Amino acid sequence: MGDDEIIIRTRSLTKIYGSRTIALNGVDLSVRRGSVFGFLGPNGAGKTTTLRLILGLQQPSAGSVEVFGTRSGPNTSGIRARIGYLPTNPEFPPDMTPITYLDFVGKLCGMNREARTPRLAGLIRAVGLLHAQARRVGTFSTGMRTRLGIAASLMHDPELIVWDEPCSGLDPAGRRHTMDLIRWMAGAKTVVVSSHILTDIDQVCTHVGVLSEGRLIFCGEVAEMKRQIRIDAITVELLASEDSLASFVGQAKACAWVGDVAREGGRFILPVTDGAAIATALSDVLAMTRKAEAELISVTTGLGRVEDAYLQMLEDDGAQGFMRACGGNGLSGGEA
Amino acid sequence: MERHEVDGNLANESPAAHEDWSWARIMQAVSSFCMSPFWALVQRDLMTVAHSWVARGFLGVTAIAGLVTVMSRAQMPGASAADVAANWQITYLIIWNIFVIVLTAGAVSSEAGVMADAILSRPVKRYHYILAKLTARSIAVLIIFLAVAGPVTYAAWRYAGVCDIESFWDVVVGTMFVALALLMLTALGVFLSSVMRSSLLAILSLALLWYAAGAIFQFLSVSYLSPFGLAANLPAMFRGELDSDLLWKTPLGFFLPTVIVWLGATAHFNCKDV
Repeated sequence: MGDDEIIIRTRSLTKIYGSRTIALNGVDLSVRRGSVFGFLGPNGAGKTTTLRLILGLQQPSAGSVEVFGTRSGPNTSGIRARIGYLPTNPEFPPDMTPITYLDFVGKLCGMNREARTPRLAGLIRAVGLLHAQARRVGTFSTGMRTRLGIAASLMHDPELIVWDEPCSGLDPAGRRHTMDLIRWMAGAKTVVVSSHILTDIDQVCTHVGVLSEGRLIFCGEVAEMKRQIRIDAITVELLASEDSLASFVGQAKACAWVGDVAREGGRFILPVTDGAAIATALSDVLAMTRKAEAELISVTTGLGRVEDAYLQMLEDDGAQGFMRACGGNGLSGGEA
Repeated sequence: MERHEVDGNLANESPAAHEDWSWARIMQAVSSFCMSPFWALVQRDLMTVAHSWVARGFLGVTAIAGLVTVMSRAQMPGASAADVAANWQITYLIIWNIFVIVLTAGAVSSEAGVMADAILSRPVKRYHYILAKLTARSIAVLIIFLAVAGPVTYAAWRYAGVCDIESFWDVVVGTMFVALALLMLTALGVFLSSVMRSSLLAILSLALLWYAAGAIFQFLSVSYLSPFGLAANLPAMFRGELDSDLLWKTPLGFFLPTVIVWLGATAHFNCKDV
């Protein structure tokens, strides 16, 4: 991967707030040009802090952030001219209307009136704020503010989109439009998006970074993350008589690849063991369902879901936290 | 040969063409300034001030109170125009300055919520933002002060029984000194609002600083630099009787701290996390 392919690079990025809170701890991150990078992590993991450091709104306590090959800082407006930023639950000057605010953003971006006016009109229409164009932003709901924030981030047609929780406060239609917009921009622009909604990340992202308590515990392709799940399972939901369900359980237990079967009513979780291929296991499950004369309601595989991989990583990270703190030397320090 | 071509080129360039070129350059510079983030921020902040009830109240109250006070004092037998005009500007320094304090000490802290999300995450340099705040608030304070100072001083000169204002320029100089003091107060207000998260705390601190300045400067034997010292000298200034030393010491004493506060505010805001 050439260095010119890297749009964002952080080296040992650390942020400590007022000697009280460690928000980030030695984060090394790379985001490739044209990728859709998803930031995952529980609340307080450091996602927003990372994004604000990338924009130069905050300064690192240690380490560095480079965006487009230039170190980011409070006065690097040239970098921000190439970034479209949407904060979580954005706040805007309450006395402004969508038109006056987007016009103001256009001015800040150095756009002339001929460029600003049609652009803001098109964006207000695109984000569905035409009905509220004359209303003051102070009266907007969270979802409306997020829509306005999306429009503002696209005002100057930036190369890099940085969206922090873009679906926050949006209704299902708005969320779908936002995801469609990210898909549409993919490839043409580099997109960094943080989200708690794991299915959204699964749908649109090519790469993912997982933050836990200020540490980056995974950074790579989504497919690679999915492959890291250690335990695969197939979840089957059946509608059948008790005899049929018992027959299904009997068949499952007889299968070599099935571990301990867990049952909740008509829902069964079949752990895949012995390194069996998921395709083979699925084929066996369908055959068992037919044989038990049960109606198949749903079947899902644990493998391939970002949610499972994400939760697994957080669990592993929690378990290994002490060992990691000791520099990977096990309990040598603690048990001596 | 080369020299000849150069001369020829110079000869072909008519004065009109040169003038057009300069005009185009000036227009280009004006145009690029008008499109700069700094100017956009100044415009926006001036609009915010224009729409604020503090600024409207400031203008309305000082205008009404100023005209009523001046007209009533001017009607008194033996009233001196210099004293009447100076008294109004003294009340501006001592009482109405509270509006300046409220208008400036919340300039940055009051928009802490929107600053990062809506402004500084765009292609804006930190010093653009803080210098725009200082510029816009200074312009606003000056406009509000001068809009009332002009008519009130004219009224004092026109209606007072004793017209002891000898020269128009003495009044202008005195008024400019008061304006300089208000600009220093404005700079301090914007600086404190960028340092303190709470607008209320910034307002209280600035008020304390302003009123305590008299005692501190008295102690340092430079009382003419304090608001109260300036107030005491103002009638003499309007009559053109001020000591020539004070004519340069006083403005310098207000101007230098203002410049230092502008630099300090810019330096502090440059390294602040938002």
